[in-house]
Amino acid sequence: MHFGPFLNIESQVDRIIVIQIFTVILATGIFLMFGVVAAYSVMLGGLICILPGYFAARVLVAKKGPLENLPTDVGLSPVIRSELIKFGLSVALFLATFLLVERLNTLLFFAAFIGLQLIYIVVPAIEASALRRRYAGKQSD
Amino acid sequence: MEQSLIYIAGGILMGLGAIGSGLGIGMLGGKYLEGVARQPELQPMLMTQLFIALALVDAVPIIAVGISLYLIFAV
Repeated sequence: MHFGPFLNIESQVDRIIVIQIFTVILATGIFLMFGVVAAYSVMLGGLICILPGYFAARVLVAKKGPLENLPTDVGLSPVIRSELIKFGLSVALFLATFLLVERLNTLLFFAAFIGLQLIYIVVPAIEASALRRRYAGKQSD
Repeated sequence: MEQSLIYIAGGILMGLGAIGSGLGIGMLGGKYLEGVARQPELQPMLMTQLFIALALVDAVPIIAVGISLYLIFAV
């Protein structure tokens, strides 16, 4: 399943980003019931988590095709470049949020940010356990 | 006085986060290169896993930076 040229659901990294986007939309919708400030705090926290990760992934795969098909001679330089961009973008977005947004629910903002980082653990763990179950099923056949 | 303590707290938050993530990323990168040197055919798969693990290790200092920026600019 492809989302235009931007996201390819076959790739594990893009799958994590898609799940993060859906989670942010869902959480924003839920917190809209508690007020507009809560909703946009959750959304901003989520965007600050998703956008740098997305751009870092794009820089990592730029002109080299999907992450899984990277040539074997690239070493660590694309990783370092993408990490620098991710860190710089995160700091810029945090600064912009704290300087430009006057009313912010900081607890929800950081909760959304930290919660979305946990998706980096949860999705690979779920996929690994599903793979293990499938493998165990094949062994018993 | 209070404001200067906030700046010191922000600096300590960023510094400690940077030390921890520096150690973690160094170990990850080293082990990744060791793995690729041993089995070059696994490099694409290892790169994906490295990127996901890096994102996780990165999260801690970025959270620390976020909280310290909040302390410095918003409190």
